Amino acid sequence: MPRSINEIHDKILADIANNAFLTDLNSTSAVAIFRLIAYIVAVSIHMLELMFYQHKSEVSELLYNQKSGRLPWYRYMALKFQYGFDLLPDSDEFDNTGATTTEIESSKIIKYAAVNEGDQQGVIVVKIAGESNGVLAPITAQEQTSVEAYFEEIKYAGSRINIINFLPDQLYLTIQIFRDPLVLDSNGNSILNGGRPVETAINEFMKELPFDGELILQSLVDKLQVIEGVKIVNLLEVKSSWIENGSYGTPSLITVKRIPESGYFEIVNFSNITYVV
Amino acid sequence: MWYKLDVYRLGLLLLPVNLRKQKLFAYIKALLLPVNDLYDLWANNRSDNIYKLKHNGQVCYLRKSLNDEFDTTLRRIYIGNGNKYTRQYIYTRAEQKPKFLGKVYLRSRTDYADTGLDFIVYVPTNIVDTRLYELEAWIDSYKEGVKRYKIEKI
Repeated sequence: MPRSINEIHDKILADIANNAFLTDLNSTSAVAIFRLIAYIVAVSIHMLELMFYQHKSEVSELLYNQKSGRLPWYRYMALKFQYGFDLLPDSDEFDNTGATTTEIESSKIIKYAAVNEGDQQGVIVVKIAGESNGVLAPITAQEQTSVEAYFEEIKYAGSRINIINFLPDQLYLTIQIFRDPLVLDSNGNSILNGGRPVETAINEFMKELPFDGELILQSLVDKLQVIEGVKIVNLLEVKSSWIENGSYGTPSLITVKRIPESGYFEIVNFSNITYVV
Repeated sequence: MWYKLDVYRLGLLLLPVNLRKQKLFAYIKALLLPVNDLYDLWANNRSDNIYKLKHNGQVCYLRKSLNDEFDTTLRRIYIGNGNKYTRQYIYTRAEQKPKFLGKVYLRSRTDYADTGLDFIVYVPTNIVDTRLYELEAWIDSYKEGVKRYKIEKI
């Protein structure tokens, strides 16, 4: 904290009192001229100190908010993108003059983003997804063009941004469920409440998976294991396929875990889940 | 604004009205002169610090700071990406691997992905000719550490 006016003032007066040549200046009157002058000097010094102090905190704040160019920062910038707005000249902030809060919120079309290092040196892979009807979905080609132009403008000079905006990876589940015949019937319906608890649990599990999160088969088994009426969960085969050169490739086997190429999975159907006793 | 201060005026205002005489004020001014000098130094330093902190190696800010410094009115400097061509290899006769060569261009080694540049700064010729070293120092101080660049004349 900067020193108060009184502290500085007292310091000056103490120095005057200790000085053998200034013994004449011994008035204790509050309005003695020498005290007044000392006071004025003290105020000026105090003002300067205040400014130094303020500037220090200002600089610390700027340093704290400095755009680091680390991967999480790119993710933050991706989520900040506003479709249909222009950037302020020579800046990475959007020009929001005259726009309402609702407009600004609805123009933020990227709801999910994840950023990784690419395979080649100096490439940053940004996986993005929007939402349509409450479900994750890729953004349109036109929107993607805007996003690319935006990144060209805000990226660090020399970095390469590779934007991945694909349809979800398709997940093929072939599961054998050993059921308790007292609770589940042969189609997997709960005898007491109806509905298919296993499929509900799988859907829940997919929702809990974070964007660009690893699908771990063991966690899926754990999730299904706790359902009432399920005795053993036997994952016969779990495959996934993703977009390569514009169309889905052949599904490949997932042995332990897999990170989706597009950032998220979509379950094709539940027809390969069989219930045995 | 909080960072604007007129030290002399402050001194005058702190004097009781009946003491605001020329002689006393002149004395006070003399006392406050070093404080005022210090304030001037600090004010300049502050604006420099803030400018440096607000600009970094992002394309938009690097371009802005370069234009602010070197091309204030016309603002012609801009930044492009480096080329990333892949190398094409041909084989010797002993290797017995014929390869059909389509069109092959000769390029400078800076245009290839593995040895190449990350970005190119396009600068008007007269600026490059007169202030090249300044320009390089400026870019070096703002760009990201490992990125390689070159300056192209336009």
